[in-house]
Amino acid sequence: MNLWGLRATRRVGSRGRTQAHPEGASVILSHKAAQRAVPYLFLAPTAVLVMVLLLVPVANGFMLSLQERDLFNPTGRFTGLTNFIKLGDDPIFWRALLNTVQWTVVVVLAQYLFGLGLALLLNADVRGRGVFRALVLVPWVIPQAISAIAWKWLYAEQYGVLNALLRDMGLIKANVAWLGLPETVMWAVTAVGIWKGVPFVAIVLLAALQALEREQVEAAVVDGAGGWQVFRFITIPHLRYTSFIVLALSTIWTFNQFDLTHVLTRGGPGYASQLLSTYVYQLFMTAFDFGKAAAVAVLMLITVAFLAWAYIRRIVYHS
Amino acid sequence: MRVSRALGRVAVLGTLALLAVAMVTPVASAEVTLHLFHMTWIPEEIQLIDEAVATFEKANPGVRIIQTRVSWTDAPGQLLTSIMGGSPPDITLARPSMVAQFRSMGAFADITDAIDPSLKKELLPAALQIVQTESGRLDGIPTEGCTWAWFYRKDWFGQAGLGVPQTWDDVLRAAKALTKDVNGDGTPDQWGLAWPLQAENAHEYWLPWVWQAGSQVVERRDGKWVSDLDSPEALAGTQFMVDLVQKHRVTPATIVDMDWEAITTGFTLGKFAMIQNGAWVVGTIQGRAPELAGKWGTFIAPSGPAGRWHLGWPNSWHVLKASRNQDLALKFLNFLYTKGRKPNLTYADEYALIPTSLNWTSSFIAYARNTYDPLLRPFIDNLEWSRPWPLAPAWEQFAELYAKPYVQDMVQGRVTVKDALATLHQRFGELQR
Repeated sequence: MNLWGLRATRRVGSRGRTQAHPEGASVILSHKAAQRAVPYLFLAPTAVLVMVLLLVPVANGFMLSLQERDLFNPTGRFTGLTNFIKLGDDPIFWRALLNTVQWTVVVVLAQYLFGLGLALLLNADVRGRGVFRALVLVPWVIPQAISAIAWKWLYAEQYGVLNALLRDMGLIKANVAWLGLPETVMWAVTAVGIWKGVPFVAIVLLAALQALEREQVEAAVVDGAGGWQVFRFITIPHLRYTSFIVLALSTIWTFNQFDLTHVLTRGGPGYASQLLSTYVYQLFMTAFDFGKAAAVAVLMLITVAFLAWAYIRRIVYHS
Repeated sequence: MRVSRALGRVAVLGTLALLAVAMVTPVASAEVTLHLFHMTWIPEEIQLIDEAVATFEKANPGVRIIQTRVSWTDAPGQLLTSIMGGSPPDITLARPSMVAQFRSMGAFADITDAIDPSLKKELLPAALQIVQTESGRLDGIPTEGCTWAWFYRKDWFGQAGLGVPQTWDDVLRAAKALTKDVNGDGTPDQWGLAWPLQAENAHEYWLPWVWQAGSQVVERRDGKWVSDLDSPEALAGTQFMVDLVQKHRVTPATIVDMDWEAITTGFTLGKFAMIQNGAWVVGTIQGRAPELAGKWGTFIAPSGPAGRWHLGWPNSWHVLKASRNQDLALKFLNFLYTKGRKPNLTYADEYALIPTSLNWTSSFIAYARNTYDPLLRPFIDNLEWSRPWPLAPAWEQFAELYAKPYVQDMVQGRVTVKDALATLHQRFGELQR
C-alpha cells in the first residue's frame, strides 16, 4: 500500500468504513489525492518560470550589491557590505529616502481617502452612474509616461493650463513654476501620483461596497442609526479587509514608482524630487555604478518584501 | 526483406551525407548580419542611412544590416546592456561622453589603419581629439554633429538701440535693458536671457561659462584626469552665470524646469530677448513662428575673458572590439565615407550636410559658409571655438550625480557658488580615484 493509501485508510477508518472496503477506499482516496495534486501540477510551470525569472535576477542583484562593480570594473570585485556602509555617508541617498517616505505616505493616504469618497459617490443611486464609473477609470488606463508628459504640459510655467486657470480665478498673481521650484515640485509630483492611483482604489472599494447587504443597512436605519453611524459601524468594518489589500498594494506600487517622477522632473531641481527609484536608475543607467545601485535596490526590496509579507499573511489568514 | 534492409542503410547513409554537406556549405552561403546601433533622429538622415544600408546590402549579397535606432538619452544604457549581455552591435554611433565611457571599458576597436589619411588631415583638431586615444591611436571616425550659439530678437534690440553682444558686458547690458514688466504686475514677464537648465541639460549650459572664463573644468595632468573647479577662473565663470539669475535678475530662476523646447517656445512667445540653443532650433523657430521672420537673428557666443568657447561636437562611428564581423563593419564605414547617391558627395558628406547638421572638417566650413542659411552662419563660425564635453571617463557619472543638481541649486540660490564648486571639485576627485 502506498503512502496515499495508508493515509486514506486511517482517515476513512475513522468514519468506520475501512474494515468493510479497505482496498476500494484506498483507491478512491488515491484518486482524490491525485485530483488534489492537479492544480499544483498546472501551477508548477508558472511557479518554475516565476522562480527563474524573479529569483535569479534578485539573487544576482544581491550579489551585485556586495561587489564594487562599475564601468571601470565591469567584472566586479567582492567588497562585502561596503556599498551599504557607503550609503550611510551619501547625502543623495538620505534625501531620496526622505522624499520617498514623504511621497509614499502622502500619496497612499490621499489615494485611499479620495478613492473611498469616490467609491461612496459611485455607489449612490445617481443617473448616469455607469458613465461615471467608466470615466473614473481614465487616469488609471492612461500609461504612466503619457500621463506624466500631459501633466508636464499642464504644469508648464509660461504656457501651462494650470497657471492660466489659477490666474483667471485670481488665486495667483504670477505664474508658478510648479516643477521648477524646490518648494513646490514634490507636491506637484505627488498630486499626479494621487490622480493616477485614485481610480484603482475607488473601483476596488466600490466592488466591496456593492457586496454590502442592503438589509443590514436598512435594519440599522430602522433601529435609528444616522448616516455617520451607518458609515462608521457598518460600511467601514465591511471594507476593512478590502482596504487592507488596497493600502498594501498601493504602498508597494507607490514606493516603487519611477515613471512619473522620471518623466516629470528627473529628480530635480537639484535633488528636490529625487526618489530612491530614480536614484537607482541614475546610478545604474547613467552613472553605471552597478554595485551601489544594487545596494539601494536591495534596501528597497527588503522594505517592499516586508509589506508584501504583511499582505500575503493577511490574505492567507482570511482564506 | 534484404532489399528493404539495404534501402534502409542507403537512407541512413544518405541522410548522414546530407547532414555533412549541410554542416559545411552554410558557412560559405549563410547570411552575415551586421548590427548597426545609432541615434539618428532627423528624418532626412534616417532616410539617407536606410538608402545607404539598402545599397550596401545589394552590393554585398548575403550581408544583412540590422539597424537599432534609439534616443540619445537611452543610448549609453542600451549599448552597455548589449555589451554586458554578450550581444554588442558591430558598429555604434556615439557622442563624446559615451566615447569616454566606453573607451575606458576597452569597448572600441583600434581602426587607425583603416582611416584614410586624407580624411584625417581634413578633420578639425576638436574632432580628432575625440576619436584619439591616449596613445594616439584612432578608435572612431567623426561624423555630423551640432554646435550651440545665441538667438536674439533683432526687433527689440533695434528698438532699444543695442548692437549684437560681443562680450559678457554686452550681454549683461542688453539683458538688463530688455528685462521688462510688460503687464505691470510687479514681476518681469519679458526676460533678457534664458537657456535650458532642466535636469537633462543643466551641466551642458554651465560648461561654456567656465570655459569662457579660462578654466578647463576638468583636465588631464600628468597622465590623470583632475578637476580644475577650484580655480579662480571656474569660480568667475560660474559666478557670472549665477549672477545673471540671482543678482541681476535678467534670467528667471525657473529655467531649471525648461528644456530646449520650452526655451524655444518662450522665445517664440516673446518671453525671452536672447536664448542659447542648438543649431537645430533655427528650423524649429522658422517652422513654429513664421510671423517672426526677419525679427530674430543668431550670433556667435559672446566672448568671456578667455574667448568664445562653446559647446559643440561631432558624433563618431565606432567599431566594437567584441564585433565578430570587424572587417565587414569597417567595409561598411568605408562605404559610407567613399560612396554616395550624388556626384562628389559621399553618404558621410550628405549625412552632415542635411540642414542644421554640421561637420568638423575644413572643407565643410568652406562649403557651408557659402551655401547654408545665413541664420546658421554663427554656428559654422563657432565650430572652431567648439569644445566637446570633457573626455574624462568619470565625467558622465560626475555630471549625472553631482554637476546637474548642483548647477540647478546654484542658479536657484540654494547653495553658494564657492561651496558648490568646492563640493564638485571634491566629488570629481573621489570618482576619478
